[in-house]
Amino acid sequence: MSDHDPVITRRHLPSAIWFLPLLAAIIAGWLVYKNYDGKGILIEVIFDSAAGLEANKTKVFYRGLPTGVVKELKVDNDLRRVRALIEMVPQTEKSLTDQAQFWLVKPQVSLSGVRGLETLLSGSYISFQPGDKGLHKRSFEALDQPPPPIKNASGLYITLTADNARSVYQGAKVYFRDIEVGEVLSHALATDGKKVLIETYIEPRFTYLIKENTRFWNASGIKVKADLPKIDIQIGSLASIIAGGIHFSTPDETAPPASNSQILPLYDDYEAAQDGIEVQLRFPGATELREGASVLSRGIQIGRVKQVTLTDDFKYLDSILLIDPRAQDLLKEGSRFWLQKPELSLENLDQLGTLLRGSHIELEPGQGSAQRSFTALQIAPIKRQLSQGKAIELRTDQLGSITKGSPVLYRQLPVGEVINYELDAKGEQVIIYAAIEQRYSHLVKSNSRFWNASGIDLTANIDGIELRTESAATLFRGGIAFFNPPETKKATTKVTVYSLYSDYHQASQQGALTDQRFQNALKIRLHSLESGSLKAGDPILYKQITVGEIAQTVLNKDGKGVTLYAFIDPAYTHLINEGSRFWNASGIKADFSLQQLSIRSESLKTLISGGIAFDTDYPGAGIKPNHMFTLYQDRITSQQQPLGIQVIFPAGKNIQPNSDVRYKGQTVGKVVNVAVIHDGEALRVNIDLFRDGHFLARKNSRFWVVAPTIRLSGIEHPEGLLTGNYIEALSGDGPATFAFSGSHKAPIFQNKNGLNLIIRTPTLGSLFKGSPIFYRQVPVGAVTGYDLTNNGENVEIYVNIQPEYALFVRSNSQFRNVSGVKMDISLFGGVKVNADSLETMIGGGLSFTSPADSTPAQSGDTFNIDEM
Amino acid sequence: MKQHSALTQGIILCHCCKKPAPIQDDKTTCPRCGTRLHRRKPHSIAYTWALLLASMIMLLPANLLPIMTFRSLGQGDPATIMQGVMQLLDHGLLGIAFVVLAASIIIPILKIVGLIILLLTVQLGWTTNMRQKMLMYHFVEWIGRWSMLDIFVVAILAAIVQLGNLASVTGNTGATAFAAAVIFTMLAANCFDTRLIWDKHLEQLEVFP
Repeated sequence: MSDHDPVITRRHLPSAIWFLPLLAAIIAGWLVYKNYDGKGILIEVIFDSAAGLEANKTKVFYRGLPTGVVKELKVDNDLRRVRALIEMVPQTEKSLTDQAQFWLVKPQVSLSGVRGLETLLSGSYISFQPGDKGLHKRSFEALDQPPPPIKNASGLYITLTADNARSVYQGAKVYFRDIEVGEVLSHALATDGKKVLIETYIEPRFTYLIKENTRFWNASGIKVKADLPKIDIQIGSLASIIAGGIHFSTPDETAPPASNSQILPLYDDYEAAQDGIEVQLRFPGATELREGASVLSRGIQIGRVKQVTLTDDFKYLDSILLIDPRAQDLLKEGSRFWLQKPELSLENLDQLGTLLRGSHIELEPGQGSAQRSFTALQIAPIKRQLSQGKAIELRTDQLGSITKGSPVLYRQLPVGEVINYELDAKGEQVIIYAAIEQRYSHLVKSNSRFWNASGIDLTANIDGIELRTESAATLFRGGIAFFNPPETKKATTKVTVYSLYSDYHQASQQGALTDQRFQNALKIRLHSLESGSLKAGDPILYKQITVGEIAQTVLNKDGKGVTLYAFIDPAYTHLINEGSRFWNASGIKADFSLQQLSIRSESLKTLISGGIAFDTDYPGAGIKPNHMFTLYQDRITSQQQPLGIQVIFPAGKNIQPNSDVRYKGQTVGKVVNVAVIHDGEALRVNIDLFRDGHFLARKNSRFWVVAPTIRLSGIEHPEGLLTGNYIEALSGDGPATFAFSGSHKAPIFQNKNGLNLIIRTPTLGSLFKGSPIFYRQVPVGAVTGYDLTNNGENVEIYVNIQPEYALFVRSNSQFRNVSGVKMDISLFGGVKVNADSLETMIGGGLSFTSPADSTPAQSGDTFNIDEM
Repeated sequence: MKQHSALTQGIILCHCCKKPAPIQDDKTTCPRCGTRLHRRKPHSIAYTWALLLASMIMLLPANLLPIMTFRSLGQGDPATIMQGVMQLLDHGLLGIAFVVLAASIIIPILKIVGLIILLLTVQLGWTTNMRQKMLMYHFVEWIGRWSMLDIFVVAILAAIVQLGNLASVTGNTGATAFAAAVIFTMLAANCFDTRLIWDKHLEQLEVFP
């Protein structure tokens, strides 16, 4: 060693590098500690099967949070069960008590819902429900199925008791008006095994619906209740069909709300849940009574048989009836029950309803105090008279199918029944005694009309076929119906005897009494010689619109005519006044004349079934009810309204029936018939003067026969060649008269318009009726006629000057004959031919000249012509 | 053939630029790059031991703690390296399982064992099979980088496989520990001065001055 050898000093402290392993150890230690600190508590859970379990994979969840994992799976020593070693998170340590529960959650897909959907992908998991108290332990047994949800959610927990669970399983929903309001948490047998307890949870927002008296019923599945009268199928929601469901209703909303863990009954079905008064009823042992049979009182269902039990000694059949609370009043001491069995016999079909329904219990109410326990009668009692009610008596000719017990119907509602019937003393009528129930007795009035409502009433007419029955029951059982016509007179309650009409039509007078249209209708009468095809119910037409109806046709007492009573709808009464014309619109009317052929009928309906039409031509005074009108045969007649007169004509000229009667060219009447009288010396002609010709029926009216005349100058009345002779008339001015004498010739002096003059000549010359009168060769008038004077010395020619020319005739006018050709032959003047006109050359004529200043001529003035 | 080291010739090799420099005294620096010159790596044995110890310590959590969590469709658990290997085996991926097993478990352990043998050789003055030991050192140094395979896999998967609920990969603490263990072994291997193996032998040959 030399001096400058380095001094070697030993380090006493270890190198800083040794902090590194230390640091690593600390970090690693910390990491490992941290990792294993999260490792939890090992517990053991025993499962029946390891299906779905997987070591290191299957987790334990609590409220969706993983709280553990299966570490190991091993089979129990006896190979019967599986032990799962589960590592739970440390936080669960306190809740691993003997109340903690484990169960396996598997995916469950059903119609009522999908549960554990997450397990489809993740596999099954174990659900854990911690126990909050109890002894701590490390070994558990898994549950077969999920435990009921924890009752710590707010809401209502109630327990329903039922006879059987019937598809109401855990998870079944509770519905209210088909809205889900809760669910079944669990179901279990009661400790005594007699009831099923169904824990039900109602969501908080629906708890107010549940009251202490709420009635629950099982709405699971499809319920088919088939009886003979009806088939009742109740179907809940699809979910409730498969998964079950519970419905409820609260009869009394004011009841106090239900409290938690309240126990309420769950009824089998909706019907069972309905409220009712329970009534004990004891039957003899051998009664064929079934549960569900209905209880009827007077044909109305008031309840049903809830339960039937045989007494221990087999002697009696105890039944419990559920009676509608509304029928409470019927359950009195003295009320009688009996089983009504269906009976079928050819004569007696009156229990047909029972035949369809099966047996039912009949209740006849009593009068005593309220009672809830009864003994049924062995047999049905003989029907007795209604203890309260109004007795009525009906008389009829035939009993029909009415029997004892037949109902009395008012608007098809039974209000009473037939008690008995008998023949009257003479055997002429049947007296039917019936009773109307007290509460309906006011319906029977003094004017009530009863009819036999039995059987089928078939009415066939042009309107169609009307089939009428009161009800199916009366079809077989017979029955009496009645109605009250509108009040016309004050009712007297003392009437108890009524007539029983055979059908409704008779009772209602062909419906006139009931038809509302006739309440305010205008009633009119129509007089007719015969009713034709008219009958009650036929329409009254106005312009082919029905405005009324014939109510009744009555033969007059003298037998000579028929009076029809008709109603006019109030809406149309204004159409009728005194001038209205009514005619029978039935059938087809053909009017055949030279001018036209007119065929008309009012309507197809009236064509066959008849009807009355009317027309109102002129405004006239209104009419009072029951105004009498004449019913004419047809429309034409009604328009003419003929007035019959009689004219005696001398024989000689042909007059045919239907010949016209004319006045100044207008047809004012028609010849009705012609009779030869006085050994052929005369003709009695009956004439109908039309409405327009009525004025001719006066004294001094003149009638004569007009026949076509063919003359050289022309043809007079040429139409007569075709239509035959007619009668011309001239009105008189005397009082009304209806018998006249007629002539063949027109009256010579006719008071025509204008100036009527008489011209006296020695000879007629070539003048004839119609020969013209000229003034300055202008025709101003005509010869109207001529006649010999009384002494035969002269001819009087009647002349008419047209009014506008009357002024030209003066009192000193000179008339001369201008007929023919006048020839003056003179030696120096030659031949002078003078003719006024060609017409006068052939037909003749008169001409006149008037001096300038003179007074105008007056009608009736006479002029002379010295030379023709 | 005489076996000599540079040191016996009075020459020190610069650690940095590998320039041989004559021994003057302890506080000389490299005439070329100015790095301080040492005859041998200072405290090589102690550093190697410390790093090796740290590596061994970190290897425990690396294998016991999960290195990665692979979740697919909501399921999946954190898995340790061994569990990963087992899963691969379960899926019948024998080759990959072997690769992972080798890279993640066998090689780190072999490295640590190899380094311990080398350290003991130096400290106890074993002079047998020095060439094989040298070979072992080279192997340890070469293989060290491959141990990072797992870490790369985890890092890449965790970065790429982030598909929400469909699939997601997250790294766990095990990966960190494993990475630390691998880094420590690599550093340890780096700190070890292989010349020390030969120094003892030369000492016995009394070739040292």
